[in-house]
Amino acid sequence: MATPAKLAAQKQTLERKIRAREFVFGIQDGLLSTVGLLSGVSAATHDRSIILLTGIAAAVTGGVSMATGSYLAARTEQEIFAKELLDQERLARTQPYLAQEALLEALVDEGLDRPSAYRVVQLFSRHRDLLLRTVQEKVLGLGSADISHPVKAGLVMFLSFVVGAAIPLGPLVLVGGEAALPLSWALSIAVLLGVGVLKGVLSGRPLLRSGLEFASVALGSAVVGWLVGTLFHWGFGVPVP
Amino acid sequence: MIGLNAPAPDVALEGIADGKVRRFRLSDFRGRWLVLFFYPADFTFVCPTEIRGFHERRLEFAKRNCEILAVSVDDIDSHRAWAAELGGVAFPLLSDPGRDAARAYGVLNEADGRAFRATFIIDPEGLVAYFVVSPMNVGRSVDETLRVLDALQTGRLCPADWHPGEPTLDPSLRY
Repeated sequence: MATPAKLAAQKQTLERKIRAREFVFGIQDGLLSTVGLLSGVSAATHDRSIILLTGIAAAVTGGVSMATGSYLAARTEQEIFAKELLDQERLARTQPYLAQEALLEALVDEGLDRPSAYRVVQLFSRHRDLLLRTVQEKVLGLGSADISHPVKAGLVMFLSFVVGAAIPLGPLVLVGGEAALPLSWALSIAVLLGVGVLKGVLSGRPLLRSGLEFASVALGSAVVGWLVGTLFHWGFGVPVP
Repeated sequence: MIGLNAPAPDVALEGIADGKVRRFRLSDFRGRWLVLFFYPADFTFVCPTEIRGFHERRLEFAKRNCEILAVSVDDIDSHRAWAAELGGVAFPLLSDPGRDAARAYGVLNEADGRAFRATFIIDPEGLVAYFVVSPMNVGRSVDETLRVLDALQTGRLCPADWHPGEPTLDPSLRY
């Protein structure tokens, strides 16, 4: 049964769930870029140490690159939000009527009748911080959930990318031989399905559908790449590994 | 926007005064000064400060033989609830849901279908003696409206920042 305390705790859960964005991105990118790279390198050489070294180097450099990109993106988002909040705070301080009117219109747009919306805003106006936070959420759509934590975003991205890259690398390290690459692909597809199912759990959507959708979109990019290569092969005689 | 000294459009609107609804025609106010002010909407946060301002100074306008009419595009039920919310309003709140009055006075904000924050002072002959349009986020000054009304009622030339009791100039004087 939902209680006020449980609902308040949901905010923290939601903040953790929002990290799924970096997790999904990192796993998918780490997995597909590595399995693609390993396929290409395996076509060029059978030297297992070169293939492994290439895969590990790609996993680490890709993870660092993605992590810093994620950190910088989250930092940028955070700074833009911070500036927007500061502007709104200044506006609410210097022109409180504007903030009140904006909130009133937002509440009316959401279906509250005008007199009720007026009374709600009047009540909130007795507490400036409450008014400001509600204006931020209702008017600007800026939630108080910590969606832009740059360090967390970077770390989750790095780990997800490395874990994603490790999945196709696993069979090459542990099994080797001709079976390793098909096994890498099979494992990658299975993990993509699994991540899709996990996404379904987090978002409350049908699990199988979520898994298939995720895997097909992710693998779709690989198929597009293969199709482009095939077209080049047929059109210009460029060899495709 | 209509011009100065032009006849004020003679609109007729339903309004609420003392809790009673009736039709108000602007030409019924001939022989008296009239402050006609448009405001964007009921249940907003700048407008009540203006309505309260005019309400609190109503006797000063009455002493100057001046009536006050407020107009917005809200319907009568909204005006009734709004007047109750404000604890009563001593002058009529006119309802202009068809936007005819706002259009006739050239103060309809086509972007949101509401009236601009516009004030007209209409003289006893029904001519527009003064008008001002304030930005939506800046409330009107009742003091300034009274000052301008006083200046208009002198029938003389009033220098800048003139206030009652200060010297005026004979309008027939020419260099």
